[in-house]
Amino acid sequence: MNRVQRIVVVGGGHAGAEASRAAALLGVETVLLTLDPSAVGRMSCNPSIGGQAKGQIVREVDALGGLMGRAADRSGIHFRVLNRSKGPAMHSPRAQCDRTLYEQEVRGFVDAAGVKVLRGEVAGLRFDGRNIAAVVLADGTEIECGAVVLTTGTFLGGVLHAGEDTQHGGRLGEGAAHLLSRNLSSMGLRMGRLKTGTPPRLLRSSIAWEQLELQPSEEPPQRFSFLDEPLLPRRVDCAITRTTPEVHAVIAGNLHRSPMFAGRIQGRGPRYCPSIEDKIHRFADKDSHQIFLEPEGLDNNLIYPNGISTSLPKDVQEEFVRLIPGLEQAEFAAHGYAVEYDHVDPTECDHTLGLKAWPGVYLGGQINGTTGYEEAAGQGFLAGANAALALTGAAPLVLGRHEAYLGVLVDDLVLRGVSEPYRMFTSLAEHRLLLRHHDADVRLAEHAIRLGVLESAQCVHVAQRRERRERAQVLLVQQRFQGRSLEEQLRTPNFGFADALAASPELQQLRLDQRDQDELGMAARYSGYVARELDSVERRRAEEGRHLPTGFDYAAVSHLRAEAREKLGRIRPTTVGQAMRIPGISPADMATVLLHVSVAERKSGTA
Amino acid sequence: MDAGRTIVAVASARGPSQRGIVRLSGPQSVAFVSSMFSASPFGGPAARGGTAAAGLHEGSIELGCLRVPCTLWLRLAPRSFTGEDCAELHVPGAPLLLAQIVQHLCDLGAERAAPGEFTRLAFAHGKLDLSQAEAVAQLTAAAGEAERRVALALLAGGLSRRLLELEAAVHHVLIPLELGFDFSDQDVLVPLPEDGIARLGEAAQALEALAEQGRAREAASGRRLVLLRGLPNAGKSTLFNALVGSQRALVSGEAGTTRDLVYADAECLGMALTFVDSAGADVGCTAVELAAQAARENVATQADLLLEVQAGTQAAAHVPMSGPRSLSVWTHADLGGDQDGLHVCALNGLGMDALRAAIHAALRQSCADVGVLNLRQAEACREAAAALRCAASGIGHNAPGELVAADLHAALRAASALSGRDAPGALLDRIFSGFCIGK
Repeated sequence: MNRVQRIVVVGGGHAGAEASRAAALLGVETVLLTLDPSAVGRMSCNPSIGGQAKGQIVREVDALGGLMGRAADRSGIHFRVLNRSKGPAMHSPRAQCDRTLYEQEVRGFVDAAGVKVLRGEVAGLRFDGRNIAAVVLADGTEIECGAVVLTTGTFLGGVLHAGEDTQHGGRLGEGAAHLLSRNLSSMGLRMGRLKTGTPPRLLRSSIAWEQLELQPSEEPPQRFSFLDEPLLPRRVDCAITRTTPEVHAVIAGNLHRSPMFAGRIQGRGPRYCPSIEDKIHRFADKDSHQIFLEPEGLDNNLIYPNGISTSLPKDVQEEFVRLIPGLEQAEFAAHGYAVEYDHVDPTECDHTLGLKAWPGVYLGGQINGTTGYEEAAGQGFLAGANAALALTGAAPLVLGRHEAYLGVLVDDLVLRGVSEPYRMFTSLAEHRLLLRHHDADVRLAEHAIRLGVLESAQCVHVAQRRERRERAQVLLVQQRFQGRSLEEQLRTPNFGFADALAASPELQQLRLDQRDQDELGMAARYSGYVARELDSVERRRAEEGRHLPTGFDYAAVSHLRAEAREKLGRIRPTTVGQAMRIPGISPADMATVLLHVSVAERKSGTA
Repeated sequence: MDAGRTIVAVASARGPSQRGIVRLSGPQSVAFVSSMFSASPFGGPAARGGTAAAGLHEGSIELGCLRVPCTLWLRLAPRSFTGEDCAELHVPGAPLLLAQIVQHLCDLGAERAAPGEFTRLAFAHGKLDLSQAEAVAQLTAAAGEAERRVALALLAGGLSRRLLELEAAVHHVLIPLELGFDFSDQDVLVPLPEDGIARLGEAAQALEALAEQGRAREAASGRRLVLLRGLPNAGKSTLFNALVGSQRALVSGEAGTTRDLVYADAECLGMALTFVDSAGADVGCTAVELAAQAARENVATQADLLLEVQAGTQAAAHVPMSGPRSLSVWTHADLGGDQDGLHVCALNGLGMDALRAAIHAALRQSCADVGVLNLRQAEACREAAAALRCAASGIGHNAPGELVAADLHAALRAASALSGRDAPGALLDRIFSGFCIGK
């Protein structure tokens, strides 16, 4: 069957922007459908990119050719590397961005790739058999396509809550997509409902900055992008304040008016980003919580008070905020609210983020139950790229858990599902020592070059860097200095990379730049542990390489426990390694399955 | 499961026996055994073709300073049980020796076979049909109702308690570390606890002790061992036959009929046991008889339970006390007797049910206490302990936190292989329930 060589991306947030741009750069005509074309790349919540594990994701997206890192650099007004006191694998870049500049940059990248941005609400999908044929708009028009990427964010069945007020919408003052939600559930997809929230926005001019502890940007700033080094906007300071027992008393006295506590919100919220009323309720013994006051831009008069996300009634918000030191005169530009939205159980997707039951439909971002701009951008990129790769008949882009946080993210989603909004933590990546942000470009070079979103000059550049590093690594192991290999010497405190260069003319000939030298020094420090990690990756390779047939009938396996039969039949892992990562599947289950798989294979002559 | 691996396991029945068999399958089988095996000059016909030729080779293997007589069977792919190159080492059936051979082969690069793996290979290479393979798979999946119950008892008792202790010690140190990595921008940071190194050391020690016990057990039998001993002609062999349900031991009215140790496996109220009949105490002074006495005393030190058997009709010459590891049993109950202890008549079954119940009760106590780890579990314990020691030393030397954490995660992974709990999920749950996270 000839599929229409067009991809429709539904939604213009961080996932949709990456998805549409990646698909377009891979040579497929791409349409981005959004409720509001002026809101492409909008930061719905805090004006920052990166942070623990998330900063690493941004670097990975950038290494593959995505836009988030470059847009964040060009709009960054406050840079910090978190965890600088820890080892390099734990370093996480973070930037606060000028919200308006960021939107402009994102839109610029999307337009430059040739994406056609259209206004419209998608009401449903039309299929030809099980294959996607078109998206159907609310006004009845259809756009034929060979693949669709859904990145609906909080707009899928979105409902906003602030105190006793409830209204439909995915963001304050914007609409929601209710028709699409019903359509997805009628396709037989398992759906769930989640919740998230945002704090009020305050006017910068109404805050008593002189009373507060300031937090300046780090110099020199750690950029996200490997690809270019544009001029950065000027930097601004943030400030820190805290809640007080008086603030807590006001909130505690009004808990009954919160939609969460009154039971009007059913969706499950993230435990790591609770509302201020949640914090005060659950951690009643704490009498103070930190608040970061983050400017939303250079010429923007808005402040994002990070730490007081709330859905309390507006009058309560005003009362408690004005009890916080420095915010006594605070004026509100917008009030905080909670948003509830639908998502699809991500175990409906395979590792390309495509729906298993509906070929050609890809999901990315909050629709998969995640939270965070970076998680969304990463999934959007992968979903858009895979949609284009599938249309052009190329092999999909699937990253391993040992290769990238993005690999961990997708693998966790499609095998384990979600019970609360999923965000990335370094502790979720068992091989995090291998996933340093510094070398994401070299680590993912092979994937990036094969994929082809990067421009060819960038491909050559990273391929050269990768080759230099590999040669240098060999030299460091082979060449000796005072009875030890150079690599061992680099692990001792008083031997720097300059000493290694002095000891080895061959190393000098490689013309390593500062980045190479820094990264090789870090790799040497970690080498024993890295070898152990690689060894455990290698040991699992056998399980990862043992394929399970796609159409295998688990129901026919007598002796298989009911739970294993249900989960394997529904999630349909493609390898033994994947199957073993599904919660509740034991080695004994797999032994039983493999027996039957061997029979099936022998019958069909593929053993 | 995959090409390229060479797997190894003890293939003979568990427990001491005349012959023990260690089996290997995989491409390096021949290379591994050749490195430890030397053919005797008077070896079998296959010896002419060198030790890499298929067939039977007589000779010996070297294990450290020990040289053990050995018959080596080689079967080359595809004409073997599994369809791959296979080797079998037939050696005297001492469990400790078998365990050492397996360990040595693992050191060379072989991997321990998963339960039923040989069968799966055989099946994959078309050597067995599905029904045969399934029969074996079911057997290996639950080797007897009794062992399953022992395993459950283990998890309910000592083992899972120790694993929880391990997890608590690891979390004690790991949570501050992980908070420092994933939540360093929030005011939830706590310093590493001062007793961290000590806690990790204690946990490591407990695991090492558990692994040692496991090893001792596996060496002794893997099943629990019940030794019958007593004066000559006390009726030990008659009782032994009654307990194991067959005429395993030769019985006669003549004192000193039994000289060698006789082993037999039997279930006792669902518990998998190995009974051992021994020569009567104080018989003879020939070399053979002395050797029999020594062998019995050796087993007595390993046995989980001693049945001190005396004829109820005899005046007790020396009355052995019933201790925690022993039961006094008086035979010939049909002929009378009023001593303290259990009275049985093996011939008409009088008192046998009571004896079985007593054996069961005595062993259930000891089993809940120590636990019977198999070799793989013991190895997981040692792995966890080594990782804990590494972490403790890392803290002591101010190693970067992420490296200490890497060791602690390795310990949790080893432990979760034992308990089946989801380590990373549990850790995040602990963090979220204990700390207020979220800006």
